[in-house]
Order: sequence, then structure tokens, then C-alpha cells
Amino acid sequence: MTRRFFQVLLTVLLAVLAASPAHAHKLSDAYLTVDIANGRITGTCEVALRDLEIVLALDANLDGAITWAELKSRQTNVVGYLSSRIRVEADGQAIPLRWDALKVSQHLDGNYAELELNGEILPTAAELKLTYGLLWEEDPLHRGLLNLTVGTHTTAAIFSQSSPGITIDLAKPSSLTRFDQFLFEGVLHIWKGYDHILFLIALLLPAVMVLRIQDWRPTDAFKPAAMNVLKVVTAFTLAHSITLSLAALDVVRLPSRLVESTIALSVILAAANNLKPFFRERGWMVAFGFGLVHGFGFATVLGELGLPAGSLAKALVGFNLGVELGQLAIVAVFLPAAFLMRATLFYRRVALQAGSVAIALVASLWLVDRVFDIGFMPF
Amino acid sequence: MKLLFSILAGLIVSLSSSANTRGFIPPTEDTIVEQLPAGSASPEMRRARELSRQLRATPDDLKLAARVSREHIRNARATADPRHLGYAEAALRPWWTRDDAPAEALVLRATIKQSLHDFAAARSDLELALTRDPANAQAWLTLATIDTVQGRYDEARRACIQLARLGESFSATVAAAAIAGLNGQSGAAVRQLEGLLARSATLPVDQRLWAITQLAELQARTGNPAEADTRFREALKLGEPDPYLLGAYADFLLDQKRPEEVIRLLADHGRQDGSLLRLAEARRQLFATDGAGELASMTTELGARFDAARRRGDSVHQREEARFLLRLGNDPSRALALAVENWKLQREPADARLLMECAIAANRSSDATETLDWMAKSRIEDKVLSTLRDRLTTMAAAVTAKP
Repeated sequence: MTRRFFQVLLTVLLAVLAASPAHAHKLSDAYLTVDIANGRITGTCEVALRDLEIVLALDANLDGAITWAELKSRQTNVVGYLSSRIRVEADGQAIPLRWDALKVSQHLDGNYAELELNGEILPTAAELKLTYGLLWEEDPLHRGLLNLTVGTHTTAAIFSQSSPGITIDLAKPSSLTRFDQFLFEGVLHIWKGYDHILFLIALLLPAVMVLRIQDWRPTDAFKPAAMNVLKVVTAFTLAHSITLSLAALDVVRLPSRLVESTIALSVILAAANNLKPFFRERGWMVAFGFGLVHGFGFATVLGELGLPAGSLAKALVGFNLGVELGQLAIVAVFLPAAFLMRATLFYRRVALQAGSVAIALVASLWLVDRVFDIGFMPF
Repeated sequence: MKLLFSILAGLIVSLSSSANTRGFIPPTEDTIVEQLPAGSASPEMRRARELSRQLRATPDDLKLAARVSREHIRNARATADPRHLGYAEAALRPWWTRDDAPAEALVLRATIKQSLHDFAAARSDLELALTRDPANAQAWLTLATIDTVQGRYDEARRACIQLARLGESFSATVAAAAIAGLNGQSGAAVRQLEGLLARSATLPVDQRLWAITQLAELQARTGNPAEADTRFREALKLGEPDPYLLGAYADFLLDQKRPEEVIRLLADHGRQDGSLLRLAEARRQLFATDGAGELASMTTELGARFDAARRRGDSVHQREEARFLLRLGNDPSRALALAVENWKLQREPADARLLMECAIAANRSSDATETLDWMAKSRIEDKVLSTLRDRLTTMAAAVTAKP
């Protein structure tokens, strides 16, 4: 099997694909994806080759088919066409866009030419204007479908001859709405981050108990239990706030595999302590120590959300506050229930013992999954 | 070898499905990245392109622009590819928004708008054209068609009378028979169409095709499947079948529970949403004996196409999408919502049937009240609709009988 053979086979298969009768008949659309973050504009534009053919006559040898060579040889013309008809202005200033990385992408009605776009705007830019004008001379029913992401906020718009542009307010979303968004993301993250929840629960399970000779007994009063919880939660919060800030501000950076694996390990240890107490009642110290690692985990998520350049502090505070609110909600449900049930056999045997075994088991699977970077865990 | 082939095919499929969001670089220089539409080398398309080139030099030449536009409209009908409607509109650019446009441009404008289901705008263009040129037969005929589709039978009949006065006796007779066939005179309509076809064997193919298709649909509605089948086959033999005829015959075959024939009929027409929908329904009927794979992939493809249309803000496909959601998507309440919207726009027997079926499936008989009124007022004779009306009436009675 030579390389040449594979190439021929691939060509044949792609030709079959291109000629597939399943390609839908539809009105003409082009897809524009634009992402604005940290003063950078990135994105792609996809235009049907059928439509480009009308404007640029790509099928040089007129055989009714466009080959990759025919398309590539006209890349400059395609770029010229797009750059003259898709324009960006920031605060009234034209922003030059670079168009490159020509590819082919598949859509319902056939293959499209795809180009990447790149540009820079001042991080302080307040207003962005996007104007679109492909193909309308040839096909007034053509539409440009825009998918625009500014920071974490995504909107869609349809460009038509009667509405060929949109103006995007960059200043406003960075104030209150941006803060709200990050607050919400923070709450969401702790609720969806099962490892953080299990860590917290493992630490909180014995909070309504006191240690008597290597065994947990229920406390008599609510106050010491509440104090225990307060100590654990405060220590955890303090610790992960520190590392979250350090990582978000790019002062310290740790490889995410190491962080994620250590988080899994922290859950195992916290659960094991409930079965055989080895750091005794100093749960808050454990919470602080491993809280430092969990903070790096939060930072990864915050990084994925794309930090807004202008309002980093706001986003950071919002996200952190969100994490705390989410955490408080869990405690508010957990503490009264645990306190009421603390004297029952169920709490001591099932919740504390079996629950901790289960947590340790799940966390062990995470540990294996993350250390070896396998990805078999569904959450 | 076979294994290798399937691995490669799988690779390419996964590559192409992920390509919805990210492009790929073709493996070789001579990889065909796009096969231009079949027949783009056909004489019709070539002529359209040549005319378009001429038009670019003289965009204000109305005679040429009208020819180009007509050519694209013809291609849009023949291939059911709506992109041609955009090209047809482009040719009329100098006259597209002007109220003082000449009648010829207005009629073409209306035809394009009608094809995109913008019936109100099409009607006002036609009325404008007729104030300018009351002897414009095409304007009267298109007006009659739109009024018939929207259930405005008195207006449609008046347009037919004008057509007849202008000496267009064939068009006038077919259009009038179509209206009569919806208004409780199917017997007379059948006789009229049969007589007309017997007298005019030498007419152009597209005119005969239109009359025979009308006749076939009328026979099917009034419960004469054998006669309907003969007529549909006769129409198919006239040459390159047009998408409307294919859809109508496929619907008839689906009602007759003859899915294999639908699959044979439409096998090469999957590009068009209407055909793919009927193919999927045929697969559904075969479900017990045939694999589910084909049906599943067709359903996915159709769903994606309707999503794409919605993304661009289109509502042209409400009828098809409602039918899809009802019969394949298992979502009668969303289907009903679309069928109700569609009924505001289109009032053909197929639209009434769809709304009634959706209302029954969603258990909301009151939502189909308007179709019952329409049936009573139009006095339509339609076996399927009568059965549905009876079921809806029983349902409504059961609802009111509840304490």
C-alpha cells in the first residue's frame, strides 16, 4: 500500500462526497464566526464554492467541477473579495483584517471555502461596527449568518441587503452584565464540578461529630458543629481565592493534569480520614492545603471562559464570589440535615462510612483517569 | 481491502461531520472540492449565464433583464433549487423596489415573491401591474393561482374570467376547473379537464402537464385512485418531471401505501426538501420490513435542513416542517403550531389536511376549527378531509360532553 494509493483512494472518496446527491437545495448563506476577546478579533468565514464560482469563476477548465488546485490558485482573489466586503471598524477607525489558512468545509448544500480572519483592536475600544456585503449583486436572497462572541457573550445576527451591518457595544457588557455573568459561571462551576463538591462533603461529613478514641461520635450542640463547618469552609475559600487570583493574574501557573490529579487525590484523602482519622479534627487545615490546589482548578475554568482584558478584576471577583455562593448553598442544605441526623445509625454507618467509601472510590477512578489522561470518566 | 476502504470512509465521514465547524485541507491538488450543480453545462443554464453576462453590460435593458429573469425562474422550477430565484431577482434589480416599474417587471417580481411564499407582496405587485396593463394575461393567471392557494375563490374566479376575455381559453379553463374542483363541483371539473385535454393534444408540454396534474390530483381527492394513477403516469411520461408533479404523485402513492414506488420515483431527488421528506415517509412505511438506518439518516438530514432555514430567518417551509414534525419528528404540538401559522398563508387541501392531522395528534381539536369552516364554505369534496372532519367533530363533542 503506497502513499500514492491512499491519495488516489482519498481523492475518489472525496469526489464521491462532493458529488453526493444528498446535497440540499437551499437559498445561499455564508457563515461568519467572529470572536472578540482581549483586543483580538479572530474567526472564520465560510462561503459556498458554488457561490464563489459565480463571482470569481473558479472552475478554470470549465469541466463543471472545482478542484483543490483551482481553488488554491485563486486564494488571493477569494481573500480580496472577502476583505473588500467584510469590514470592521472600531470607534470609527477601519481595522485591517488578515485572511489566511484556506480550507474546505462541508455544509448541507455542498462544500464551502473557509478562511480564517485575524485582527487587533485597542482593548479600550468602545464600539465595533461590522459591515457585510457578499454576493448581493448576484443573489439578493443571499444571507450572511453571523455568530459573534464578545468575551463570554454570544449573539447571532443575519446580514441581508436591507440590514448589512451591526454595531456592537464593547464598553457596556464589561460593566455590570459581565460581572453577573462571571458570578453565575462561578456558581455553575462549583455545582457542576463534582470533585469540588465531593471534597467539601467529605470534609463536612464529620463536622457534626467529635472524635473519641479513633471513632466519630455525634456532637451535643449545634454551635461546635457550625463552628467546624465555618472553619472548613473559610479555610477552603481563603486558600482557593489566593491561588485562583494568582493563576488568573498569571503569577503562578501549574500544568492542568497535575492540578486535576492532585484534586482527585485530595478527595480520596478527605474521604479516607472519615474512615480512619489520621489528620483528626484538623479538617480545616486539610481544607486550606488542598484548597490551594482547587483554586488552580477554578482558574483553568476561568481561563476557558476568556477573561475580558478591561475588567479582569471584576471578572475575578465575580467568579470567586459565585464559587462562594454556590458553596454556601451546598452548606446551607447539608448542615441542618446532617445535624438532625447525626445521632442516627444511618448517619454514622451509611452516610459517614459507606458515603466516604463511595467518595474515595469515585475519586480513585478520577485519579487514574487524570494521571494517565484517559478520559473514561463521564463527569 | 474492504476493511481498509471502510476505515477510510469512516475517517472521511468523521472528518466531514466535524467539518461543520472546522474545515479540512484536501489531500491532493486534484481533489474535487465541489461538483457544480448537475446540468450547469446544460444548454438552459449556459443560455442563462450568457444572457446574464450580456445583462451586466446593459443592466437597464428591461427586455433583456426580463428574459434573464424568466430563464432563472424556469430553472428554479425545473430544479427546485431556490438559488435561481435569487439570480432572477438580481436581474430585476433596477425595478425591484420601484412602484413605477413597468408591468412586465412587476409580474416577474410577483412571480419570484410568490415562489418565496410572500403572497401579500406578490398580490400587490400584480394589482399594480394590472392597473398599468389590464391585458396582461400572465398577471391575471398568477393572481388566480395565488388567490386559489389562499382560498379566495371568488377573487380567483374573477381573474379567470378576465383571462378568458383575453382569449387565454386554455389557462382560463384549467384555472377555473381547479377552483371548481375545490368548490363542490369536482365532477364538472373532471369533465372539463378531460374534454380540454382531448381537444388540445398539440399544446406545449408544460401546459398539458399542468392540466393533467390538476386532473390527477382531483381524481385522487375524490376517491378514484385508479384514474388518478393513470393520469399521474401520463403526466410523468411527458418528459423531465417537474418537482410539483413528483411531490403530488408521491403523496398519492404514500396514501395508497405504495412506499416502494415512492422510493423509486424520488431516489434521485433527495436534494429537494419536499422529496427527501416523502422519501423518509416512504421509509417509515417500510419500517417493519426495512432497516432503520436509512430512515434515521434522512430524518437527521431533514432536521438539519429545517434548522438551517430557520437560522437564516426563513418560514417558506412551514408546510414541510410541520409535516416532518408530525410524521417523523414525533412532535405534534410543535407541528400544530407551524400548521396553524401555515394555514394563515396557504389554504390548499394539503394544508387543511396537515392542520387537521396535527390537531388530532396533539389532541387540540379546537385549533382546527377554521379548516372545518373552510370545508363547509368551499364545499370541497375530499375523502381524506371528510374522514378527518368526522374525527375532529367526535373529539370536539367528547370535549364539550365532559362535565
